[in-house]
Amino acid sequence: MRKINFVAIMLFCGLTVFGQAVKDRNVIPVAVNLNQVLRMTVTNGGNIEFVFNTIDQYKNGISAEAGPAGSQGFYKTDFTVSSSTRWELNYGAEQATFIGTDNPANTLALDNVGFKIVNNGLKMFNATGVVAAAPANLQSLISVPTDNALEVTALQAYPVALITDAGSTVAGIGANAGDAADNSFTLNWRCGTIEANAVVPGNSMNSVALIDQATSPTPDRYVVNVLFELSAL
Amino acid sequence: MTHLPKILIILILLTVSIYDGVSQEWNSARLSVLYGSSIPFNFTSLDKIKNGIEITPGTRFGISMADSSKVGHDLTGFELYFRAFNNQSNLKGDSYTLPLSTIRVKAESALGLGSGVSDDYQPLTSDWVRLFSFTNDPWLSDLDWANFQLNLSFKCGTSDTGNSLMGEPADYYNVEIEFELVPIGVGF
Repeated sequence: MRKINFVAIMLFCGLTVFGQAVKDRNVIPVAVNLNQVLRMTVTNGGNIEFVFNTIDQYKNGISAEAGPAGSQGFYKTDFTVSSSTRWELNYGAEQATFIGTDNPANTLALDNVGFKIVNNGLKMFNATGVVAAAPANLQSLISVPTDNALEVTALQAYPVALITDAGSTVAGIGANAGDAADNSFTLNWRCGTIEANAVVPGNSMNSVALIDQATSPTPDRYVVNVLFELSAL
Repeated sequence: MTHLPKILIILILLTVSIYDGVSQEWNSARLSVLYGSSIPFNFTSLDKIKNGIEITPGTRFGISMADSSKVGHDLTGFELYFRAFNNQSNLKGDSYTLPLSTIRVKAESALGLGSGVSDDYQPLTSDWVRLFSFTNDPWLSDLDWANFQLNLSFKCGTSDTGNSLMGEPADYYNVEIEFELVPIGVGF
């Protein structure tokens, strides 16, 4: 009987152990669907044409950064990039040379034409020069051919990485993803201006003016398509 | 066979003991989803990706809570907590992940809980974080879901989350958020 009493006491002592506060739980699933946005828009200067009709132009070339002020805008291409992810812009001429339209046998070397990038957006080029004062998180662009928009580059055959993301390779740098206000650029085109690229000599323009070239270019209308391809990284 | 009466007595005591144990709960609590049982964030434009999305209200909870009048356990209110279910450490996509803090949640009174305190938007973490607290001391009347409701609002990728989605890879990310209704009071 003592054993039974002991067991009974222990069981009653155990009653308080089972007492508890009642909580309740619920689960809500949350989904985040990120759709890719990737768009390049040429807002001005989708067709560039250099017309040489004076000896001075044959000697010194035609440039968006020289000559009569009113004419400079004819040699500029404005474009914007809107991307939700890190991006890279490849460009290049569709053919290895300019092709004459009157006579396709006539050709003109691509390096007679070149351009310089002007950055109009909030995102800045990384590293040298123009980006020194920019916050690190905005120094998210790299352009090797133009030494980060500091140098002129000759037109090259497709594909060449013109602008890419700095954050992918440099620690602490934000992504170049952004809208049109973040990524806005102007290409200042020139032809026959014999400008050198001091940092990437291989990207220098033809060092001989059109009027001085060993084989004078045959008068013709030379054309080439310049392709731009925007891709997500 | 001489031990049979003792065994029977013990079995009876056990049965009575277990029955009493069940009846010892100090309160009842129920968190009911009235609507918004899943929250979709669809980022279909660059503006949404840049500025984020706020869904308000996204979910409505009904709160049911009653005091069992157990001596020493006086219900005075409740708190609502949330966390990533099963301590999930990030928002999982098919190929990529996002930090949990990309999501922020806020709970506010929708009905009958106006004297409660909202902790405003709180970032999602893998640990319990309080969203709302309500005190009714002394406990005058039990709460029923039809008259005591909470609105839950959700933010994703907004500037105050510190996790802009600009630059994040496209994917279908998901996380389950667990909410817990916890009674508070003397003895709880």
